[in-house]
Amino acid sequence: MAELKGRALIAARCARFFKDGDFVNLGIGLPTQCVNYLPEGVELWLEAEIGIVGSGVAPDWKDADPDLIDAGGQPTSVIKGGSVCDHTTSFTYIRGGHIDAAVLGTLEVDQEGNIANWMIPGVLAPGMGGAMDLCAGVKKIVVATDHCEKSGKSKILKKCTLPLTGAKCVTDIVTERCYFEVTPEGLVLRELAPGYTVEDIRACTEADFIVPDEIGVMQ
Amino acid sequence: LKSKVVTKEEALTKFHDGQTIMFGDWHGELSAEEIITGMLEKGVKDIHAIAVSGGMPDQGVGRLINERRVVSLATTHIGLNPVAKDQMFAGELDVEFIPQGTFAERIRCGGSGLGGCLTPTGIGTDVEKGKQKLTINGKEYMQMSHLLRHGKPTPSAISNSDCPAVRPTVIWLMPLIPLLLKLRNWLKSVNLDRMKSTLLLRSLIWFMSEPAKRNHSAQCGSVQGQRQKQRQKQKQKEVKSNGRIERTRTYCSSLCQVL
Repeated sequence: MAELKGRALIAARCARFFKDGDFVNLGIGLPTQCVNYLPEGVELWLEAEIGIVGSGVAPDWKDADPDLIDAGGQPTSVIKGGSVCDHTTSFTYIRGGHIDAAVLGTLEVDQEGNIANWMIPGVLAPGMGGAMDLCAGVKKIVVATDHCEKSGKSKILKKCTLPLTGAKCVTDIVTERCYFEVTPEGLVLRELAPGYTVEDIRACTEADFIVPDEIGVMQ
Repeated sequence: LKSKVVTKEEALTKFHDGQTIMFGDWHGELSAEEIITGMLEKGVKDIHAIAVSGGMPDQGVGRLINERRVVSLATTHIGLNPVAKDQMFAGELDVEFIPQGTFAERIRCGGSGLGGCLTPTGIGTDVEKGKQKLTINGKEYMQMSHLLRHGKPTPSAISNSDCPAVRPTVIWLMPLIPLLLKLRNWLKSVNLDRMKSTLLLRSLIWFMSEPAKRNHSAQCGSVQGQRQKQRQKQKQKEVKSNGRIERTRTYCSSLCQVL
């Protein structure tokens, strides 16, 4: 397999967190791409906030059913054995801890596991949608994000500055440069993307992190 | 058994100004476009909307927001409607952001006779501000009340001091009390000419009206907006003929009493 880079690498690494049969919620954008990189023999039950258990691939526009849409309002499908439920039941799954993992994009994430992705006061306020519920109820919250903003500023901070979406809920942070695990002691650098060294990561990361003896290669 | 299916025209008779209306659309999809078109044509305004998202400017509840028919919006996400964002930042649209699960559950509570329930969602974020918190079995929860509002018509901002939109204005006016008292005395002593009193009355009415309405009546190009303007003009004419200075004086003194 060709060596993956950038966002494809992030999606592929996130996909390796899942076990066969996991019930998973993927955020809009980059997280959705995880399904393209699932390891052999792993199939997931995808949850869509609108109330789909077993969301499938997006159909062509000409085949799309206008009554069947995903959390972002785009046409979607339901896999064999999938079902639909109402809005409150959908969030019963989310808040009640019945979802195994969720992958979210972010604006900021910090070394305590706080995440901020719903608002920049005075500039951007799309709203939190279902993200706060995911943060409150899902056991494994994987943040899939670019390591830095376009300006070069680190997105992985000592402390989030924007209004939080969830407090101390993030378990893993995956960027195109490395993979951090969030532990009670702080961030632990578990894997490096090909071509990056610990010093590179130190230079572009605001947060403190622990460097263990063994560091894997991200793939 | 009597059918609950009604014609569009019949359905539209149920919609009035100032109602709280829940919209079922999802980012503008799955929406009742015909009813929304009917509401736009009928001129329903001052809507308190409950909708999972702000729709899109040309789809769903977003069309009503685009036409400035919505004064408040309880929602989870307005990312696909830049018009709603602009109105929110300009202070014209009162947006309450609610986490989606909490949003759904608050509606369910209202419909099933519950006062609300306890949720872990939003603990440690801005959402918990002003909410009562409880710890149950070592886990922290916060109280959320039901999202049931009564569809009363919005009372006139000037006559009803209970209207929430007036309160900030009144609070803002507090430091001006001494000035207003002076103004009252001055009004008693000075024989105002027409010009001054017109300006004074108008500016007072303008200050007391809620911000959304100010912009609404100024910018609403609809038939209803024009009618409203006509009615206002007529009212002002009446005031003129009934001795405006006297009226202004009474108004100012009653205002001072209220304050």
